Amino acid sequence: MRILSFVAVLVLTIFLFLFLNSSDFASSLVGRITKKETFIPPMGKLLSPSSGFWRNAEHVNGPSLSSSLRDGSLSAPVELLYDDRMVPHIFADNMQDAFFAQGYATASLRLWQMEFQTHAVSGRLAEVLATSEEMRKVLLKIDRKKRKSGLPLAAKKTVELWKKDPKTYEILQRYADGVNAYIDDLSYADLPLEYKLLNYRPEKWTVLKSALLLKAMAEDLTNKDHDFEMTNAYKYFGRDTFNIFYPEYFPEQSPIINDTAFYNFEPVQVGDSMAKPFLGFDKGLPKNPNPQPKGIGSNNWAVGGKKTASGYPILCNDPHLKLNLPSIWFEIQIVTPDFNVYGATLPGAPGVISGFNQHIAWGVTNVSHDVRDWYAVEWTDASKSAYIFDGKERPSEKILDTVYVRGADFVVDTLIHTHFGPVVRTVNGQDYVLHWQANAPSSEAKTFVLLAQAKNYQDYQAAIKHFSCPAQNLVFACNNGDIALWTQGKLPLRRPDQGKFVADGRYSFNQWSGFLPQEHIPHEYNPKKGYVASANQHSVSPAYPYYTYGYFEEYRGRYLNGQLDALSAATDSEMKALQLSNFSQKAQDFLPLFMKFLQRGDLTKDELELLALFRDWDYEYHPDAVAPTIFEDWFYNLQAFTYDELDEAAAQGMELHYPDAWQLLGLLKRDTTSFIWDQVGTKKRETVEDIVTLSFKETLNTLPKNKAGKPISWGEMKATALYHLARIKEFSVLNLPVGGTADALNAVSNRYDFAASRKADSLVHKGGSAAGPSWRMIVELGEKKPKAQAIYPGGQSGNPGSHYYDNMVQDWAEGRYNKLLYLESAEEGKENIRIRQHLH
Amino acid sequence: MTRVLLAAAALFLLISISFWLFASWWWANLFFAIIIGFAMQLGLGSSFLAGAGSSFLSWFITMYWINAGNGGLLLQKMRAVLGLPFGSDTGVMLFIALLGGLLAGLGFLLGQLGRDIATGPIDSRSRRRRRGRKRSAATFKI
Repeated sequence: MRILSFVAVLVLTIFLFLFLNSSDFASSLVGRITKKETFIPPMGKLLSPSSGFWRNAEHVNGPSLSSSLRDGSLSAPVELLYDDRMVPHIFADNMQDAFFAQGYATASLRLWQMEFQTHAVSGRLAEVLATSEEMRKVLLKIDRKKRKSGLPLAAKKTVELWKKDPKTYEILQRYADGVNAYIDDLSYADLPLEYKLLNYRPEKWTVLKSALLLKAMAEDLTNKDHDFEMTNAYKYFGRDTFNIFYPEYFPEQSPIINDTAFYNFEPVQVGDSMAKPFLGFDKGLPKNPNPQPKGIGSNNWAVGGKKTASGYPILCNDPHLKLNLPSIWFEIQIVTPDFNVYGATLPGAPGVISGFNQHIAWGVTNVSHDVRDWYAVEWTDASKSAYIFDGKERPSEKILDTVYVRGADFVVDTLIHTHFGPVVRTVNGQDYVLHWQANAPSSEAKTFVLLAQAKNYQDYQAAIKHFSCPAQNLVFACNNGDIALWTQGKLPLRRPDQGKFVADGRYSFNQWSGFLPQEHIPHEYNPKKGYVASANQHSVSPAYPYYTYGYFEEYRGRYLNGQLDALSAATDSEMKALQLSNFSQKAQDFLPLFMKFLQRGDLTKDELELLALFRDWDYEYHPDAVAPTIFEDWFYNLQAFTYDELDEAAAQGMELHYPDAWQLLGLLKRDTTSFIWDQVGTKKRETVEDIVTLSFKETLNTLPKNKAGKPISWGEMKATALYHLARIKEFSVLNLPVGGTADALNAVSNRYDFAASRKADSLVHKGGSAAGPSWRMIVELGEKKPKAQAIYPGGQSGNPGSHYYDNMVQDWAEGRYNKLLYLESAEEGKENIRIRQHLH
Repeated sequence: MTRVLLAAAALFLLISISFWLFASWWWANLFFAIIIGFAMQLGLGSSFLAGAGSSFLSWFITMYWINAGNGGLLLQKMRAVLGLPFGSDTGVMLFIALLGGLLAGLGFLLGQLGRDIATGPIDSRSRRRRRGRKRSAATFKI
């Protein structure tokens, strides 16, 4: 009996042991009972107060980081101080040790994010996240697509390029060593929470992972193209009508480099014959499935000393990116005998992307030139081993690629590469290859390492010339009074219209003709206007000697230039007001025209009441205002009524891209008798007045309203959300009441899905995070020490159990900044230092 | 009763120490329960209760302490992430502490039963006899 009891208790204990300790056992048991595939993490370990999620429940005073680390690879001791916002301040005797410490400090607070982002760009999500059959299907598709795009291969080639520059490579390796010093010390209890939930462990960090991270950034900022939709439009409408729908230049534009004196150089000859699209397809081409979300962009400017109160330049930067949690940025200060740099870094790469040192400050915005073109390729036979180019056979390269999938067999793909780039899309048997500058090896990491050490304009120029993709408007200011801006990057030389359409890959004349020579890249140095500025608008005016094509913003830049022109004796207050401005130039452009064409006599009482809500509206997109909600809904309806020709084409299988808002503005201002105003399928020939009135009447029906039947506020409509990177809702911040819009300087994008909301007759928002000012920085340079303030929506810690995970979100939403603690020695600012680590 | 309390206190102490020293409370919980259960003559019912009670208490106190230090930030999120069907933080902590208690209780039982198998069956007479011996010797047989 005793033995029987013992065996019974033993079996029960073993069962409990297995159930609580083995994810596979628990998942399969529960799966069998519920007849549904279920993933259960090892609950015993996860729930244990000593090693489970409780260990990630950080004390309100901050994390308990070890006070010292012994690492034989350090050449001298390093002091690592964390201030009261958990910003690391590194004091090292040399650059190599400093970047080791940067890797160590970043990993201490952001390890899961660092690795997750590299898994995403290398097409390895299914390997770690696929915990169910449904997830396996979805993630495998995403991974295969990512690998097809060529980015993982490009990252490998980039590492080979870096190896040719031993100094830079050493810094990247030391950064990786620092990350690994942290990983090597990790027990299960110390793992970031997401590893425990998903039941996997971090890998060793490598230089390749840093390269992948930089390629992910290049992807985010250059992933935009409408080549397929434009080709459809060209084929359907013909060139003349196409040009009416999609004009290239906006006459009111205010380019970044508007001093045409710079254009006075002898350009490289590239030919002036118009590029023609590839039209060898029967049905319409499906559009780019991954359009860049609206709101990706940035502002930056530097105001010269003549326009500031202090007499020293002020530099401002706010990159508009996806507002995820943990944030894309990590704040850090690095001090060595040679430099003292502070700013926003990318967790996973050494150096500072947007920041300052004792002498200079710099910031970035996206150049937005098109560096991503598609070519239709003709194979010699079904094996796809060779293709036709200029009448000759050219061999392709085939690469076997293994995709690992969690809980399932691996999948082997054959990736095919041509000299243009990889085969990425196949439509009705026709392969399309992608020529994408992001797929070229590049040295951006070097730029940021050199900028940290730069002291003047010459050093800045020497640093930025290594930057190729994503091309950036790199703004610069120096405490000697210099200001400058270069639209730096490898920008393709093109014939007119080249890059707009899918091209025929059989002919060399459809290739890029090289890149703009460095000296011809648009730039300004101490311009007479007293400032330099960019907000993703056209880099240059049509008078620029080279053809440029891209996806430019036409409102923020215009408004910004106007404000900076009028500025004098500027202080940080004016700079903040600009960064936080909710004013929409687009609304100011459109609404007076809407009012001009609106036929008020045709409106009902309810419609007139709705119209009255625009009274006294100052075009500010404040979160509690309702006028922006009505205006945006009206604008959407106007687009739909105006471009009904596109819907007709879409019904015939041609997926098209709605023209940009400024293209519609051009029609309203200059072409009010165009055929476009006429509705397809009606007997009457509608006028612009009819369309504006019709779209307003429709707005009364489509406008999102609250329970009382009143229009909801702009803040409610856009429902700003900061999602956790793995989309874990509980680790996200949702429905943040913030103003702004993609067309305002405070470019917090709108997540409201107009089309889906109309279909569902309820409020539908696009999944994922909003895009917007991911880092607001203002640096006032001074003779000895800069004064700086900044903020980003997030916190220094990547741990959802930390109070430093999202502690800056509310301040960011309410427009507050943090004064940055710019230390000159490890002994300074003791009252602000929370943790001291000694690395030796 | 004294022995039961002593065993419970020993387990409470050992798993608490193991938390600080090895950060491996979960399995230390079971391991120490088996050892103590084997070492001390307690009886099955009281053995189970001693193991479960002491473990439950130490787990609950520690979780409460961690949660208070964290301001309840993570537990609130984890309740939803794990889909735990409890309406409050205390409910979750009670549930986890009960799991720990169950494991320790089983550990004590295993230790007790293992000891009985190793030392031969004990009927009520022999137990009385041994109790008498122990009383007379005023010692615990450990």
